[in-house]
Amino acid sequence: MDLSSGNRSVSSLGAFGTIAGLLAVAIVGWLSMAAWGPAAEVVPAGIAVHPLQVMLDGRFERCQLLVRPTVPLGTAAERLDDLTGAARFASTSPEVATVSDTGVVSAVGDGVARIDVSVGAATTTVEVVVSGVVESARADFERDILPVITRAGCNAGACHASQYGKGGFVLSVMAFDPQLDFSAIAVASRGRRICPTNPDGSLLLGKASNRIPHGGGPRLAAGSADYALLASWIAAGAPGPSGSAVAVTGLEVEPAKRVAAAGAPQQIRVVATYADGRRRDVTSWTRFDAMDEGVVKVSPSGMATTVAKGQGAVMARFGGEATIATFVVPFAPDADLSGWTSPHPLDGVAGEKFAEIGLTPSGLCDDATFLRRAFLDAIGGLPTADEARAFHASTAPDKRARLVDELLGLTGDPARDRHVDRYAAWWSLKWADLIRNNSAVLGESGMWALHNWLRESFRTNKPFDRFVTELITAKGSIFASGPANYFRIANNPSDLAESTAQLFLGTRLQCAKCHHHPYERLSQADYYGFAAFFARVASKNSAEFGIFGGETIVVVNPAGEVSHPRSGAVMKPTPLDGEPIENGEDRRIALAGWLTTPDNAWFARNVVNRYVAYLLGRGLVEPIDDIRSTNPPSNPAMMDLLVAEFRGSGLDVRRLMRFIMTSRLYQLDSQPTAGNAADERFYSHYRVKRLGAESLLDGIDEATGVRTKYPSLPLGTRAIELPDAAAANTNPFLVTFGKPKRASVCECERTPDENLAQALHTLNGDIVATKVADGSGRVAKLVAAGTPVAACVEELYLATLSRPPTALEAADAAEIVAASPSPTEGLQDLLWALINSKHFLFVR
Amino acid sequence: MERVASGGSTAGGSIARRAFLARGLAGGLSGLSGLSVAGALGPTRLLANTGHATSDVSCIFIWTQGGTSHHDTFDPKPQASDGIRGPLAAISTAVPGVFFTELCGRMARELGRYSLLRSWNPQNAGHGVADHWCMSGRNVNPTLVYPCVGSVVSHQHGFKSALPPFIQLGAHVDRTSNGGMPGVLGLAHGPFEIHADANAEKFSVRDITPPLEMEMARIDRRRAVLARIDRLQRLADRQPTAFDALDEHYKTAFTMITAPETKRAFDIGTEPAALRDDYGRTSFGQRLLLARRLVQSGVRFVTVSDPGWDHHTDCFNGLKSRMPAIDQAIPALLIDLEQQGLLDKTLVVWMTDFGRTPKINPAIGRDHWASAGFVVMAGAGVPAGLVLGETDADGGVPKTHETFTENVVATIYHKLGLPLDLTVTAADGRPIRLIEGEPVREWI
Repeated sequence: MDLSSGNRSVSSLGAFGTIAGLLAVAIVGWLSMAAWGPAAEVVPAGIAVHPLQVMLDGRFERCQLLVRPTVPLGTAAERLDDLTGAARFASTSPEVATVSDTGVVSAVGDGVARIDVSVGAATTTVEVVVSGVVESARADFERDILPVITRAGCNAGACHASQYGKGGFVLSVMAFDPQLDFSAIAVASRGRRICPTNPDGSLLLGKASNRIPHGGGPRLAAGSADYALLASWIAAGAPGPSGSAVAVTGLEVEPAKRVAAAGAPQQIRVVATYADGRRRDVTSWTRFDAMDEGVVKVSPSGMATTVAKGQGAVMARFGGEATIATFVVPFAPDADLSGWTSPHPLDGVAGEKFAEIGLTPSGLCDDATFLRRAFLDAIGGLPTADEARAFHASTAPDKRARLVDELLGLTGDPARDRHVDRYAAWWSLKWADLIRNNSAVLGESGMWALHNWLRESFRTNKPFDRFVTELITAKGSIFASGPANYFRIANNPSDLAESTAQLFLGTRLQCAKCHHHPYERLSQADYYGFAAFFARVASKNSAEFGIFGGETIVVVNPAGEVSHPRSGAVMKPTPLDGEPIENGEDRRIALAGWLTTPDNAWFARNVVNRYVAYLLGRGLVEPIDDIRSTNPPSNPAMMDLLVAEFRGSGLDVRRLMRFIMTSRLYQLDSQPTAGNAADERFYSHYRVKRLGAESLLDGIDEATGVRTKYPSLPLGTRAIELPDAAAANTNPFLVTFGKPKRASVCECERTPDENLAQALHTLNGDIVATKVADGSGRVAKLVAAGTPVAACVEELYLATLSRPPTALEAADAAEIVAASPSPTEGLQDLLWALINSKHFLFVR
Repeated sequence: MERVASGGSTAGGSIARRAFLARGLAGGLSGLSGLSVAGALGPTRLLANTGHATSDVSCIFIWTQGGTSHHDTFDPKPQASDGIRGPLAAISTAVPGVFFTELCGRMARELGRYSLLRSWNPQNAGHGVADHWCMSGRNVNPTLVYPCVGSVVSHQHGFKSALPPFIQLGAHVDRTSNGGMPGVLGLAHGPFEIHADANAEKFSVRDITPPLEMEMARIDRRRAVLARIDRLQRLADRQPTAFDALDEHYKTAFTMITAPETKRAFDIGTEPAALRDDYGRTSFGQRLLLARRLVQSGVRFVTVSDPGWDHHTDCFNGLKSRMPAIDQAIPALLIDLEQQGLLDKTLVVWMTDFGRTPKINPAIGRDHWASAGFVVMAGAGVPAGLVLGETDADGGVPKTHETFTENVVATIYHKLGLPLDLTVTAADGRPIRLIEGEPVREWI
């Protein structure tokens, strides 16, 4: 890298309020990382150590030091080099505290010590105060021992925490059940795993150190501090859980965010906060995992190294809590945002991200692409040839915005809001998939009732809080009340809790049913407390149409509880991460109130994230229904902005869609550039997606002029209008293209991957072939009407790709038809090929 | 994945395709098949292969959907009371001291060709769950769909020829709990399903046999038209990655449609009439024969499904109508595989949902039974004539050698050269260990 590009890198720092004094450091950073590898080569003028003073209270306490260059005030801390790995450490009083090569200070005896730190010629010192070594001679099982076991990976899901454990030794996942773990380690198998009179001879240590051959390999080096900690606990008679352990209530990582080029090292320090307010450095017992190893990797001791361009996270877990440190590795030192002048607020936050991550967005898409994209995204179908012609003929400067209003029914003019029914059909399909409307479960009548309620909700643009409240507080006959069917699809507190959390909070509770959520602070108590909201909902056969008619009535019983599976305690209805709330009449009313209250951060975030994914091809959080603190949005500012916008509109989904669709971001070309082709997360180019099963079949019907007839529905019914899931099992086209069977509330049930069977189906299948060749189809009618070939070609392009052919395409098509045995055959082949072309199969 | 020149039917295109296949083969356990272009999965971590088996072994997996009664086939209890024994007579087999019922005459004579497990504990009595569990080795998990073995084979070993690596014959796999599906591995590794009746007079395979009896010349012409249109749509050398994936699938699809080996594989009419007769002129029999042809043509895993085994009522007449086709075809397959020299490289497995109740119900049927059943396994080094385990006096629970579904499926993994500690990364970053449990030692 030459100096001028180094200078450009600095200019992109402008957004972060850089002052002149920082420039020298930043340039050195870029040069060292890009040209000579890690920052070890940097010779700083001065260094600083964090924390400024170390207090260690207890015999087993440790503290990780972080070393940075000193720079003038105002420097963006997230861009500073980490010198911890390059520094030398020495303790002046090893009888008080020792320090490792990696900067970990350990308590040895009460007193005060000084740690001298140096990087090259730069030096500094930090004071260490040690106390309580004598008083806390015994290790505490929960506070000291379980973290060692967890850090060593013994209780990972693939090891001793798997269903049957390994070799008869079964631990709880991430130590969520201390009593079980204690008995497995110290009591089970007649106590053969520990030996208090000879700790080194304990099976536990022999296996962990691999002195005795261990299927899991060496996990804990003999002689290491953690090994000694376990040995001392065993020697003390292996005391069990004291029952007085103070819970961890939060974790902080330092740094929480780091921006650097590839190859930069960064030691992470972790501080836990306990319920009694105590703060403790727990870096030595934190389990670190890289969430995206392509961007950043991390060692077991928390030394992270950036790997390649992008944004990734390192997850830190300790004591049932989890948090992340974010790493940003810019794609380029600088993004070219000269054309990025849109006043749209969404483009503002997108632009800031482009600048930070060094991505230059693609250009705007052309009108034809926008027309097709907007139709498919907003109402799930293609424009007709005439609608396409009219849009292309318009010269209105704001014709894109006008089209968006028309598609979403927001013009205020009933004559122009003509797409509302298709809008309602399309979004009913989406939510029916998620809510799982299915006659196999609900019967025909229940399925239709729910379908009609969904249609009506989207036709009238019901505010989202009302939509959800009606659904989760519904009662009465499943034939008469559409939303009451929600309680037949999932019909027990566990399933209802899981579905409701995943659908309307974007939270996957399932893990916490059986054990503490491994990536989240959710415990079993959270799970069953949430399930308690549904403890009293039940159903009974109706008096009139019961047993034989299949009608059931959803009712709320006066009693009914959910209890904790391990403690047996009756759980009070409790929102996630909240205090118990009650409602004497119906607990679900209390839940609906909490869900939709404006300060419930999860609710609006979940909706926003889904609609971003539907429109921009990827959620800010992915998977889109797995929102948690350890799975952060790719652009938090964009999430915040959209959440505010959505709330400000009164939870109006159509306005949220309009807000996104009128941004420049939504209108970017899907054609990637050399600089942004690698980006899959930051929306630098529109993400192409294959048409869903229903839209594709509707599109083929439209293009060929031959409608598909669905059983017991009138001819002309579109695939997006199908109320039921039955066609996902019976219609070969929809089966092949993955119409969801509505077995799961997961968005992932509709898979976006293309596969070979689909390719064969459109290339060589009888459905497309028959429609193309149909005697009353589009080609047959054009030919019968004596339409000139050029006009036929134009019509076929408009009916498939929603645009006229380019001059080259028109000429080529004319050649193809001329070379065919007959014009009909030639036009059929052309139509078949257009249907199989990427510009038809994809929203682009 | 390396980029392969795209968008055309030119000679260059097909050379690239061959090179692609060759790489896939040479790569062996590369984790990338021609199909797995989708980025749904993160990097696949391969741990050491713990077995000596190789990826050259193919599998024919027979699934009799509904739950074939073990009492009335391979595990009769002639000494049991009337309410348990049923009306079918016990007959002796090629192995002295082992008895089957009269419905299994040929299987009894040919017991020297396969191994029978009579102490399987299915631990489950639900349809749907059974399909998932037996085909993946994993109980249904609400947070994660484990892939069936065929999908794992597709994911790990990829294409061997123009034909897909994983084919399912017949529609008789219950999908309600994702039975026989690829789960976390993504739709690209799902089974290619062929529902057409191989015993039909005009057997043709949907989407593979050209539609409307279209001639090859017109298919070639269409392919050329598509290539021209595609070229004009292409704005630059670089295109979205999803487009690259489609190009791959199109190349594979056209190769499959036009390759002579495809036509040959499905041209079941070229088999000698005597051989077709030996398999039996039934849907099941001809499906099994087709399965052998597919294995011969490079398909790695074929599921052969057969419906109608949920005999809650009129069990014995039901079995009398279903069983003869099976009893005739499976021994025919084993004999045929041996004569073709394919037996060492082909694993044949027969599983069903679960066992059925010892007690005969008032409707003269047997209901679902979660704690006993049978498994048949042959080929690929499985010791022939070996009968493993026994149940108690009522055929209710295994008495010796209790074997769980995971052990059976782990055996299949092992035989197909899939590491037992195979771990993949799910979309949310979780490492997923695909199978737990040890293979059945006697079958290794």
